[in-house]
Amino acid sequence: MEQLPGTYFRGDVENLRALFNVIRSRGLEPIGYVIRGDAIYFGSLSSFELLPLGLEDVQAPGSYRLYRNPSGFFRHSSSSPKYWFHPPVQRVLEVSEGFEVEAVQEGGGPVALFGVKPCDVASIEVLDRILSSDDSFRSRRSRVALVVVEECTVPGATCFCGTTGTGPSARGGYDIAYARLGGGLVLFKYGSEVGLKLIEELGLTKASEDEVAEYERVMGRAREATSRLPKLQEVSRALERSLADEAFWKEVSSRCVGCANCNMVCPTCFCTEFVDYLEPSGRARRVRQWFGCLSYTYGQVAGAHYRPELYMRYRHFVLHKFLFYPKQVGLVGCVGCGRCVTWCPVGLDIRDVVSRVVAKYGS
Amino acid sequence: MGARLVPRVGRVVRVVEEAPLVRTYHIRVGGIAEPEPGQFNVLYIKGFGEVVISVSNYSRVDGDLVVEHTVRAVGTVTSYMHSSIDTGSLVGVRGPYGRGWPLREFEGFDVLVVGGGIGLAPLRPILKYVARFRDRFGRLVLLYGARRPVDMLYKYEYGEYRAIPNSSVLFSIDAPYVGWDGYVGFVTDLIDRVDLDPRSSVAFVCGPEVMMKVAAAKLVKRGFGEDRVFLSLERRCRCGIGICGTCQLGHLFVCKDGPVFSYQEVRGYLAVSGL
Repeated sequence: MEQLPGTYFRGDVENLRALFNVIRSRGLEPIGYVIRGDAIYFGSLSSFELLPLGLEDVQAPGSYRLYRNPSGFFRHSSSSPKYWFHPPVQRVLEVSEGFEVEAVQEGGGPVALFGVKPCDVASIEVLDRILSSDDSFRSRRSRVALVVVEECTVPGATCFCGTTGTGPSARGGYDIAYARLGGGLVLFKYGSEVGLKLIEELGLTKASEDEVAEYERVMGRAREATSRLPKLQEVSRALERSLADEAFWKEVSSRCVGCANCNMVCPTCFCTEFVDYLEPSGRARRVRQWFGCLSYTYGQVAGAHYRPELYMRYRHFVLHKFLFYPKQVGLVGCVGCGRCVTWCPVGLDIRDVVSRVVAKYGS
Repeated sequence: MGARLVPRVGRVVRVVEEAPLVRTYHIRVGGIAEPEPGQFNVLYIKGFGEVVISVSNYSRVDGDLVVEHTVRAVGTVTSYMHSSIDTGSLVGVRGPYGRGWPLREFEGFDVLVVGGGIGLAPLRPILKYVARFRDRFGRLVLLYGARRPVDMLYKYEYGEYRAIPNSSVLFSIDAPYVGWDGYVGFVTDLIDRVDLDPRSSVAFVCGPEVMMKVAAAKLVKRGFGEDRVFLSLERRCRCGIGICGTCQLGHLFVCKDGPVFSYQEVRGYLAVSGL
């Protein structure tokens, strides 16, 4: 749906709460970033108070800190939508003593993405394509009945969604998007008829020209701050030329410790392995769990290893995001969230690697 | 979790001892489709895990299929199979999966089959197919090499292969062996002795990756087009349906884009170590 000029609405956090409550009253389960203990996860939001509205994350390569700050802005945590759509551990089979195989079924009602960042919404679209044959993912995906996006007015220090074209503003694929501006002002816009009706139901008034101008100024600044990398097409081209440059890949990955944190926090890393459990009774269970290409055993088979050296595994991570993902599904696999930079224990920065490969192999 | 990762339960009806540490399991199973030559199934051994194994042959029995899987005891699951799975055992079967040998596309062509060691298993259905539809293909040449005579698979069928009209069968072993009067050396050496016209021939190759690379390079040098040399590749396949991600070779999923690829499709990737 085209966003017509003058279709911004103004409100505040109380309107956001009202929207949350309307969604719940319609029987939708809001899911998003949720405070659990001292951390933020991605999952079910049983109350509005669980949204990280009064928290601020401070991110840097290899560093993440969460502070209470009523006027602060929350970006994201290690946990992305993949945590809910493609959970870290998934039961696949239960098998009886007599080898009766039972597929583990899971149900659940409709959900609404609430307050999810544009980069993370984009990551779900990537998963849609790469996991199009994954029944578990598809079943969860089909439960999404409404999408409410929170635009990033204040991107974090490791964010580069402007470069990947996945933020900081909401692209398509949302019903309602909102931006929290200074002074408690929240600007709403709609991306579907359903979104428009909800906004009308909330009784929001149209934003003034000054408010829209302020919004555009803030978002422009955010876009600029996250757009400092080479163009993606140039990155792909340079990567294609770098494939066989063993010395280059050894050098850029020299600090990597192969922990696979980047794989776990990446919202588009989808790989899984299977683990089997056998009880003394003869009952067995098959479980599928996240698995990262940085892990030593990822490419190992009995009697051979297809990526025995660490540089090969790191190279695959980078190539897959920017070169192989586009060939596989027509979308760049990196959504510029910066999690792999933040959560890398040695702060290895994919932005540097991408810049270096373009510097060496760009046209 | 949906149906795609759920195996059918089959029963082992026969076990053939092929070679040291290599057995062929004949598994009777219902509810799965007929495999195309070069496709594979995923076998599930309860409590131990799944293994991705090519279909080396199949037959129909009443409404069921009997699929044949040649398994070398090399890892945890396959070693357990050899020690504990026998006639009468239950085995889970998912499949058939993957893109097999493009036989229909190459009707009218001469067919060269090059196998090394256990690599004959996914090639065996080609021999059966050509024998069955003999008039659809030209000359058939099989080159097969193993480490020792005893390591060769399907020894009991060689008479059958030789009896295929307009065919020749050449064997090699890696090192001299008492009583062996065939060729000694690499199976890829035998490519020099093949009397096929590359312009009207297609080659299907399976064996250790290094052997396949040598074979493909040699065939191309002999005049075979890169799009007429096909390899069946192995990677770390887990799910078989392109969702676990671990078999990726460059942007290709070996399980669903392959396991059979033309040399043209994978030459660039195979040339880079660890891609």
